Amino acid sequence: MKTVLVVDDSTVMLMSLRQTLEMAGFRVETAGDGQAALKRIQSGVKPDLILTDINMPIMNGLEFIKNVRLILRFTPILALTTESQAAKRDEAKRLGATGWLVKPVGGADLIKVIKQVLPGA
Amino acid sequence: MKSASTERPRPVRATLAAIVAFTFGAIGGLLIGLRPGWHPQHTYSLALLTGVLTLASAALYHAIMARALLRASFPDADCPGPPSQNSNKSGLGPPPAFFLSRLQQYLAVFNRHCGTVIETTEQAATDLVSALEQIKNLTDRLRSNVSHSPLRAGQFRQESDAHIQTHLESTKRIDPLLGKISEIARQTNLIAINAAIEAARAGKAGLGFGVVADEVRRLAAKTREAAEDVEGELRRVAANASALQGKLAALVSYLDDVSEQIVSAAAKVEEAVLDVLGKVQFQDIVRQQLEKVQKGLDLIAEEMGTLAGGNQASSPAPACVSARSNLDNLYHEYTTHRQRAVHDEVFGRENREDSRPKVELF
Repeated sequence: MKTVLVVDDSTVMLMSLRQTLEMAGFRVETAGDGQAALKRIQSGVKPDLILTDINMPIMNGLEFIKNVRLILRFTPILALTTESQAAKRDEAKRLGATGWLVKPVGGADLIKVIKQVLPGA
Repeated sequence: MKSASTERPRPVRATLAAIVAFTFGAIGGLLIGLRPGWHPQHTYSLALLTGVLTLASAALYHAIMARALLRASFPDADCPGPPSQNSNKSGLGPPPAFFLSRLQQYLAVFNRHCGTVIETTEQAATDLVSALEQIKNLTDRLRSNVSHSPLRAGQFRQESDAHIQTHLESTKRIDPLLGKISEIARQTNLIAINAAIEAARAGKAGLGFGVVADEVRRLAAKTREAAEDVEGELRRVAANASALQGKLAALVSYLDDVSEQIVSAAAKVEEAVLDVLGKVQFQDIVRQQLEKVQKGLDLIAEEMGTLAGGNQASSPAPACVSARSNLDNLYHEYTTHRQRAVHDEVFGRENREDSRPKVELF
């Protein structure tokens, strides 16, 4: 069973994404901001895919992507955000994100994209 | 529209207005005093008096109108009246501190309302996700139960088929026995007939034997009838068993269909749950938009605080610069395209549509 680490400061988003991903057969780990997510990875959580928000307190998504790439070089990272600024999207790409999804994204569409970047899921 | 720098200062305007009022009053007094027989000193005194009275009336009218306007705007406020310094176009002066303070209170209330909306939608969305989770769990259970039913139905069908088959074979095994019984009855009947013939030949001595032969014939006939009855019943039982087998097969097939329909309905429910789970993301979008509205309200309150502090009295420029800078900051902090579009629309700017797809893999 593949593990997805979901990073978002919204409780509703965390609940909604957990259920969506579990329905598709994934194991789900969650964190409320970039720093908390980074700690989880450092403490041994090895996600097969990371789904992260961009605008978050403490450590935002871009900073998180930058830091996580130092530890997990090849794990796919998808940004799921309300953010529509092209500059931030380009920055995420430069930092090593795998894709960019603007909220809201339907559950079925999200699963489709995840399966696209995570073969065998 | 005049800019602040080209407008006359309030004291200059007030002085000019006073001079005009006095002049009009004095001219009126002069016109009245220029009558034949009036001493010129009386005429000048009258002109001075009417000039002063006109000036006083104009000042009183200005004060009454200003107070009435403030009371109309804030009926429950104990308005101290407009300050005399810092003129603006209305002639009332800049908003007094209590006015700004009241507006700040309103802003604080709106800010709290935004917070309440965020909390309410968050709670509703959380409840919705929990309800969806329950629906999903129920669907899982239903599907799990139903997924075993075709197997159970198959087993039931096999077992019942086996029972019925055994039953039918048993009836078939009875058939030859019935044939034997019928054959024995036929032969017994023949023997009884022969015995009756022999009894008749024996004459008187065979009378008793003839009676026995008749009884044997009746018994043989009854045995044959009983065998035929049993054979008929066995055929009906076999027919019923076959009919039962057919009905059970139809029932199992129906159960299979129902199971398939339930599994298909469960898949559709799951699809709908997934769809609604995606739609719940609206709360996060609304939350972020309302947080920006809250921030905007805070900025307005902050700027009003600056105005109330009287920093603008010497120069209005810092407050204007601060407002513009705050607006720019707010614009850069927007997260959604819609927020920027609304902002640009209000300020009459062209919005640059983000043409990139909502989902993009790099």
